[in-house]
Amino acid sequence: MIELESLTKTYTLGRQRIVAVSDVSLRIRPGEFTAIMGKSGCGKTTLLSLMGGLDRPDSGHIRVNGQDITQLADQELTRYRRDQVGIIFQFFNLIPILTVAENVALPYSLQGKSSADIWERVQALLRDVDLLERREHYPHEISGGEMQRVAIARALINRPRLVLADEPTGNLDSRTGHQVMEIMAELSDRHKTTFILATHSEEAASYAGRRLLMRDGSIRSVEESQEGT
Amino acid sequence: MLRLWRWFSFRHLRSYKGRALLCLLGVALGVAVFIGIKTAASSAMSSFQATVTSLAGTAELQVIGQGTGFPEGLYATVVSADGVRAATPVLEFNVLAAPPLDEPLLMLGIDVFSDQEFRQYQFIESEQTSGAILSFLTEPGAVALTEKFAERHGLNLNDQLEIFAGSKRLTFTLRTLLKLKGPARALEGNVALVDIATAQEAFDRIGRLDRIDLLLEEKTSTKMVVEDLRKLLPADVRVEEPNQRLGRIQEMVDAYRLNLLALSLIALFVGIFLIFNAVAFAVSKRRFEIAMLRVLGTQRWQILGLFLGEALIVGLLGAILGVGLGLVMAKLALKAMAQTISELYLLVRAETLTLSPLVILLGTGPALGVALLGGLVPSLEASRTLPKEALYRGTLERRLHMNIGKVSLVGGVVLALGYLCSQQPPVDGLPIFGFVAAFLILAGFSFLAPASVLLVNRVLAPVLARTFKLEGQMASRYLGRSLNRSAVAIASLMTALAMLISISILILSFRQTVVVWTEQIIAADIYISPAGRITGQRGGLPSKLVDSLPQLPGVTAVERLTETPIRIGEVVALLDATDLVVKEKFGRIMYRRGSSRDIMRRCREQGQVSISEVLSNRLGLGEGDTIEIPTPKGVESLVIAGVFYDYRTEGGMVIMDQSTYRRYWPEDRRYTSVALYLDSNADPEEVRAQIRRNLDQSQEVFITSNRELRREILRIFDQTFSITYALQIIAIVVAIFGIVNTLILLVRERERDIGVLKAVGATNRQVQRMTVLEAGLMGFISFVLGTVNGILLSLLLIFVINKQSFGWTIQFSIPPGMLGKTLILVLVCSVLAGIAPARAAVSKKVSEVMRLE
Repeated sequence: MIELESLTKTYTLGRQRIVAVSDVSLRIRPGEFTAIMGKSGCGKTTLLSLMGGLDRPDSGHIRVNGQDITQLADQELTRYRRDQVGIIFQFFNLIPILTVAENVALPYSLQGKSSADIWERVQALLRDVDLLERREHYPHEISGGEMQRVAIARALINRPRLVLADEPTGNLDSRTGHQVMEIMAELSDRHKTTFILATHSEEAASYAGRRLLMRDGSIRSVEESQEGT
Repeated sequence: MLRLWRWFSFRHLRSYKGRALLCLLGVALGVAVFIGIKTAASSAMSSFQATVTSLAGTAELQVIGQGTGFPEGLYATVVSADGVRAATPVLEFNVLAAPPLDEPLLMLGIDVFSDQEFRQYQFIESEQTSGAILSFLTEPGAVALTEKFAERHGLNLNDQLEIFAGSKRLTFTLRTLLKLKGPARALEGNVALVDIATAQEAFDRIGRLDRIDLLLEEKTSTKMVVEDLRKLLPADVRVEEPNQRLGRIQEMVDAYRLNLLALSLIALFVGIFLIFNAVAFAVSKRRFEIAMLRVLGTQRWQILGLFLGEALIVGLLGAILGVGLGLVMAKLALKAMAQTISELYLLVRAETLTLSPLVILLGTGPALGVALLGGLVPSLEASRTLPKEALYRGTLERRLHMNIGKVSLVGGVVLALGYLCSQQPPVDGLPIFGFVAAFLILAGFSFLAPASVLLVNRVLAPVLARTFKLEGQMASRYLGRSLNRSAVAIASLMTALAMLISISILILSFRQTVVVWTEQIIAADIYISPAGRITGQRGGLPSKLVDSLPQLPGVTAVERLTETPIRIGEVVALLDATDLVVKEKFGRIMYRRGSSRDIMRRCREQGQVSISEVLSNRLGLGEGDTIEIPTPKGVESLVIAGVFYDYRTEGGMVIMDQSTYRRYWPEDRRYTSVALYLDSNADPEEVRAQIRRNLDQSQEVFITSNRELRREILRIFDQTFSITYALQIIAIVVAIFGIVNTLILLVRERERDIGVLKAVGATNRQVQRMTVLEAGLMGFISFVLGTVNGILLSLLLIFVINKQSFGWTIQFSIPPGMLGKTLILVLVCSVLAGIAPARAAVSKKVSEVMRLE
């Protein structure tokens, strides 16, 4: 269960103060596939950053399975990111010097575990995203859609409870975007992982069971869908 | 264009002051060394020139003796020669003013009457000094000093001046003060005048002269007078124009200077890398700006001009700073330079720097060249970048990756050229091609740096991955990927290290050779020499003392030595006359060929001589050849029995037996030093005390033990090279800053990667460790490449440059301790260099980096 309580985050840009997230309260059930929609600058990415422990709110609380992550020390927050969260970015953000398999194994390797321990899991995930053949390739040797699939596999390697995807199809053509969303929906279902998706694409959002609309840092409406996963 | 510079370049330089300052320092260092050495050398030269010309006064020709001079009877011969209008005799002594004054003084014995036509001494007139000039002539112990010297030491008229002349302590009375004009300006005023008769008596030179200055009759051919006089004079007496001395000294100073100039070029070489790095940084940082400028219609040449202009500004400011630093350095180097000149020619005391606009131009010119060269590649890349391309990083990297083959090929060709140059003979006695070869080796290795970095990195990668896990693996991969940045930083540190390692190998090999040599040749237990032993001092030991030595208890043998400078052709060498019968039995000379005993016996029995390796190289003479030595009895052709190793003088040495010397120099009764061989159970301290007891009150000698003498030789050796060490350390510090610079740039370029790593769970410590490991890896690879490069350079220095400029044989050895220490130094420095970039790497919040999307 993820609970957001009166979450607020502001940024200072030059002399201007910008409210990115304003008094957001929300509950997301385990295994739920949620899409946060809204125009650029509405606060979607900031909300995701806060839930992923990439940033701290100015006020409010985020409880993940009862643990308030806003109260965690830096090291604990890092551990939270590593063990409980998977992140998928719009620009894939693969590490260019690592191969496909190494990129997938990265969160595991950061724990000091040898690749032999996780090889089976890396293989399984690469098979899930249909990239096993490409495991020795470097990111610049594969296409955008493939890169995003690697990023999905990387996000799932630690069996996280929560996967955050920031505009995962924003940099892909519609056909590839569709494939990527299919894979995400299927994996979310299979692994019973909570997926939160920030997007302004209606099509991408259509895969979600619940859709939240954000404007000016606040959630304006919530829409449940029977078709979504 | 000006507006572009004002808007973009100046603002960027202002924002990145630290980086600009670093480049500035690199360039400044090169310029400073160049200007420092040049200015010190020319200042020492002009001081020497001032001394020579002011001492010569109006003299058109000089008759000069060597060693103990010539009989004064020759004066009459010279005066009556055709074409000679006037002549004046001179005695010249380098003496040491006794402590607490402790300064060298040039004591001139002159004949005040005949001297007036040659030199205008100006005496300070006062009531006190009235009649002083007269007393100067009549009173035996009277001396005139310059006002400057007297004031500095608080000496007043009628005060006593104590000096050491050889082993004698002499006392004079100050009767007159001289204005710092005319000849009194010699040696910056460290001049003392005495009457010639007083000088002859005081210095045991009755009936002898050092020099006769001549004025010629009008319309007389100088050349003819010289030829006539040469016929009338003994072979060891020279006739020359005063300025002929200058030409010879110039050559010697040139050889000395060339070595240090090479150092300055290496410093400039490091500067090229620094500027390359800075401009590459600017290009990377401003990709977007370049793209926008291009989109807005800025021409390629304008972009090129923009970045080259920035490089030039840094070069120019570096040059200005370098001139200032150079002058400070010149002041420090001046003393060493003056000392070198003094050792071989004439006591020189250089205090003031002579500034030459030409030297400043010559120093700053290359700095601008370096700036252009360093800035050219990244500026060209910037100008060629398409507007679209400029929006993505990594374009430069891909280009360089593709060109590695070509760059390495260029490196190979440059190295081959370097080898060819190293095989060429010297030009006018100077190893010009040797220095070109050194430069080509450095350049060749720099071109090979990218390929070598890849190679070494590939070898190290598995070790790093095993030892440091993911951090090690990523550090190594990042290094390989960012070659265009890392190879430049590595090449720059490699160059500085190659310089450190090669010069250390040279110095340590040289030192080791000298240590072995001193252990072998310094075989006597005690050495005695005159206390006033300063440059050009020609005094001997008291004969009573020398005669008493064999009778001292505990003394087995006494080896007497007479040392005298001689001119062989254009080479000034030292002639050592020694008791070879003693040397043969107790001592040793290291000959390059043949049995030492046999050679010494031939010298003793057949009147042959041994010459040092340096002299052998300079004169092109070897074993079995004959050498022409000017003696008071004429030029003697003596057979060379052997060539020996010697590291005492740059000019070279001749050794002959005392009996041979006495045959050709019957007038010289001096012994300039003595070596004592003791019984095995004798106490050297007791013998030393006994010698002291046998001395008169007025005598002063240095008594040195075997160990002290060896230590003193090594002390002088180490002192000679201290300036080189200082310069190298500065170059390394600058190069290490290059690594800091590069890493900060790399961290900035990898900001997003670092953000991702942190987003997927990397701790700050892991990211920092990665950066520090990369810094250490860069340091280690620089060390590996620098060592290979340095060893090659040291071979060149020892076997080509040293051989061609000095001719010394140095036993090549690589001291493992030095390499170990250098490795530790480099690793510690480069890891420290990684700390600031590592901090920068984790300073940004992940969300800030990710928000770029």
